[in-house]
Amino acid sequence: MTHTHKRILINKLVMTLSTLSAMIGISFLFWILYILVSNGVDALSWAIFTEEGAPPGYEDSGLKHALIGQLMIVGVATLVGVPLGILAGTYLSEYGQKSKLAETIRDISDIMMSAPSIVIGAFVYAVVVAPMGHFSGWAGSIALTIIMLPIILRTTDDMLQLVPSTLREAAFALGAPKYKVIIQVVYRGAKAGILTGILLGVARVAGETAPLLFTSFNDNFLNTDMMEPMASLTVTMYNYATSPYEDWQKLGWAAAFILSMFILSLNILGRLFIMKKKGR
Amino acid sequence: MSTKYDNKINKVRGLISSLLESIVSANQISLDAFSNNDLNAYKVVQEKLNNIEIQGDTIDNEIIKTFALFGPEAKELRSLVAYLKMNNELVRIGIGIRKYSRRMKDSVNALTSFESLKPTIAQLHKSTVKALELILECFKNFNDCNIEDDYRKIMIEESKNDDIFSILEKEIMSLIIDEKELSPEYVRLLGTIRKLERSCDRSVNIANLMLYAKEGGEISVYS
Amino acid sequence: MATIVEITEEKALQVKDFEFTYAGADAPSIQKLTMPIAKNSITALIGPSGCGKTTLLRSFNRMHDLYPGNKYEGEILFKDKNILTPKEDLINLRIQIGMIFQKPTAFPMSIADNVAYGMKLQGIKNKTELKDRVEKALTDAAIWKEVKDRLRHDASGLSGGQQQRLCIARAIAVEPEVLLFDEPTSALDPISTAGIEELVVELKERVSIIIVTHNMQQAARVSDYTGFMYMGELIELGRTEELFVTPKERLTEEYITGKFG
Repeated sequence: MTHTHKRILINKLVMTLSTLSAMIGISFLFWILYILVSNGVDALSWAIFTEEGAPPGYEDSGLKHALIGQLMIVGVATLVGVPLGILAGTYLSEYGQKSKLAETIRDISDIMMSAPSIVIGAFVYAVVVAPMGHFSGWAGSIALTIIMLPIILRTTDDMLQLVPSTLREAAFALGAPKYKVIIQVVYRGAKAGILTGILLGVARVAGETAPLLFTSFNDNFLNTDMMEPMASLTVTMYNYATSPYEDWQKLGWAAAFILSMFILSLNILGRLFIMKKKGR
Repeated sequence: MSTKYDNKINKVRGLISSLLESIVSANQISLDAFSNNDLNAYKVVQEKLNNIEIQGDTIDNEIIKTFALFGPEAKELRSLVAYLKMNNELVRIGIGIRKYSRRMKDSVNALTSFESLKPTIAQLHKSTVKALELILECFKNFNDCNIEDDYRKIMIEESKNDDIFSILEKEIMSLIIDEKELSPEYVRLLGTIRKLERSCDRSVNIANLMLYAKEGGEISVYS
Repeated sequence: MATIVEITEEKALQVKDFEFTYAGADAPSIQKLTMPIAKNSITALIGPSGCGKTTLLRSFNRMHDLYPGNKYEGEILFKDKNILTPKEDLINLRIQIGMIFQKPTAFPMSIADNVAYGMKLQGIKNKTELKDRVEKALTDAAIWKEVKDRLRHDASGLSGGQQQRLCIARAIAVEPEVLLFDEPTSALDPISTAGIEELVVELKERVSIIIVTHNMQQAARVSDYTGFMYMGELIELGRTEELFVTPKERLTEEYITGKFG
């Protein structure tokens, strides 16, 4: 066949292969969603949200303890991790800029982002749980904070750098001191981006199981004392799903469904923010 | 808000306007001086026109600055070029009237048969004044003036002017033959009157330039 | 040695043997430059890319201090004081010497907040005073009519030319003595450019203006004095009307007639 024919054929072949691969990937996503929804919706009821955990076989059992525990652990991690991450990102973008120290921090942060979360859990065990002598909600939050920090740091750094330098110069040219330039002009300009970073950071840690395994451990009952081991949705789901009890397994599916929907909506929200900013 | 450019163009127009006005009024005064044999009036004419060369230079320099600073195009470019060349013609007209006045003042006593020529010379002078007045009127009403109309009128004056001058030439030639001893004075008189005729020619040139400024195309001063 | 015309008016700024070296550079970008800036006039700085005109402009309000490592030498006198000393109060300096940038830099806030920004920095809190001065600044920048019904709207909704006027309003709201314009119309369309040029000519009644432009025709149209710079040196400073007709230096003539740059 002619040279042109050959090229057209190869073109079509590659296009078919890539489309096929994409569709395989997408079909897995839909398959997962389908399984989650079909099993999870089945197990959903109001009781999930109102009843605490109970031994298997109990009539009134729910996930209230796990939901509250999850909210508390993730909440504390967010309250600590977000300000820290934003301040660190601000330092990198506005003060450190291209200095050796700043670049080193960026590199370390990138490495930490790909650290296995279970390793971070082990670290917190050694540094917090062992000296304390027991598991605690605080230890769980600390582990999640450590995981969240690099994400927010990096996003903040990147988003702040996107703000054009002439905007800063214009504020300085009016006689503004540096901190006001950052707060009144740069933060406002990067608002949407930073918020997206926060959403994505929270979404990431909300689904972690391994680091909580040996920090906050778990509790089958409602506990709001952070000094004690606390229930979390993820670990609870792990326990219930791998148990031999049918009602516990159902609860496990419900937990999986709730968790997935929560993280999915955080991600979608985050992406909507990015689209809105890009579309301006 | 008027720009520096607008101000500059208005300044140039203003300067040319006042130069024109001085020349037109000086010309009228010299006509009156001639009709009434008023030697003082001739002096006034000379005073009025004694610094037109400087005025002309000022206008030229302002136009050069306008070109350098603002790079005008189209109608404004044509207008400025027209003004530059008009300025030249106007200054020469002014100088001509000044010389005419000086010489008339000097020769008025010398010639006896002058009286017979007077009415014709006055007619020539009047038509010269008319042509300049048409120019002034058109220049002052820059946007509304119907230059094609005025151009026609100026052409009419110019051809009238040419005819009268031919008549005068013939009359003076015959006078020279009759009064040979006064021939130098008559020749001088002819030269003096020719300045009026030249002024009218120049008025036509100016009208051509104003037509070019308005309509464009290629400049043609001596059509 | 530069050819500098004698300035009869009062001077807003005087540059004396000024040298500037960027951080990490081997040689100074501006070499022993001396130049007067006349008060209530517009001085244009022209020259080919890299000649140092923007570097010089940004020295007047010490913008270079934002980036570490830059070195100043010599003096720039403003109100009889050298503003290059390390002790100089930069915040106060920048209130008196304002700057307009090449790309319009409207802050991500409402139009009114933009204009009031500089005033609020100075501590002005009285709402009526702020409102009045915002209106005055927007009127002086010839944009009041267009925005008076949307003062609370975000400034990003304005067009490029309008945003640049907003930046000018913002700068003049703090009543500076000198305004520095860094190629203010190079990002704008011809009509907006003409509008900004008219505005600049009006503003010189109240402020002394230095404008850097790579557009020679703009310098010719707008300025009273023009300074031609080349390779970090001032070659010639003259009255615009004279410089563009009879430049005294050969380099100036070559640049103006388009032989280079």
